[in-house]
Amino acid sequence: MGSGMLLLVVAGMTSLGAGLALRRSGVDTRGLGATLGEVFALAGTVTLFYLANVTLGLGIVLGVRSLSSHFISAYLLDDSSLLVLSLLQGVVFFCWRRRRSG
Amino acid sequence: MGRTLIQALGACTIVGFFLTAFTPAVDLLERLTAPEEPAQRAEAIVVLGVGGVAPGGGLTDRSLRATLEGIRLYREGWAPLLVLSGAASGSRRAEAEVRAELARQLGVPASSILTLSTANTTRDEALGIRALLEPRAVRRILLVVEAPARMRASEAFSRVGFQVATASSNPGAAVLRNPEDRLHELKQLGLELAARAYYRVMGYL
Repeated sequence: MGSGMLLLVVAGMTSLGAGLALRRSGVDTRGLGATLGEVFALAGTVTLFYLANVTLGLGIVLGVRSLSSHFISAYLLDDSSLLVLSLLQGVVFFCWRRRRSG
Repeated sequence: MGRTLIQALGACTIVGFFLTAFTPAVDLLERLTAPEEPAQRAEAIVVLGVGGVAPGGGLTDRSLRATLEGIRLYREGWAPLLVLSGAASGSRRAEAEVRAELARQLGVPASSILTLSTANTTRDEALGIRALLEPRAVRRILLVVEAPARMRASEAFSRVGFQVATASSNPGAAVLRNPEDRLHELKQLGLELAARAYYRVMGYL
């Protein structure tokens, strides 16, 4: 079994287990479609933050390069921390907007 | 931006994640954007800077891989000259100097090694290496470069007058990737596409 398949099986089983546990505890499990819509909106918000961060980062790198003799590598933006930061930004912004609207 | 658009973007991101991590889509994309080509005999092997020097003073993994590939090609006789590039970063030594030291330790004669330690970008490397090789009338080069950057580097060096063949600095890396490797590769391809767009706008390609 490839590592990809193993990961999918593990994630599938824990999702199924959580779904069954919710059902048993009497929680209303209808509305999966609406929940997926929320997940897509959250993922979209995170993606927007990531794109904005990368674009702004590239702008700063190119700006510093052209306005001074100092060299900054664009590869500094190739860092997983930026993805995690974007994730945090996206989640906070998404929850904040939901609280305000709802 | 409207909620529907954000949802569509999120759906694309999630679908893209699954396609990238759990299918060979990124391998196909890489083959399309940077097709493999066999090494060709040349007048000089040029190893582009990548990864630099680690805080401990040794080469980073990426730099070491590229350097060893250049040394291997030299020892197999693909070209009589080995050009090692790589600038200094902060107080660390220049990548090119550390590479040259390694090449000498591995048996490459000092007279066959040239270094360029002042260039920070591929464009600057192309110009700097032209200045190094022009007096020796070297035109045909074998460029050792990471797969995603192969096309841009090849075109940037062709633009300054070289006849370029390329060799991957990480041969065989595309085989048996796991999901994390594939996601990393997609990020590299994305960065490379942005760099390519920038080089086009600036007229470097």
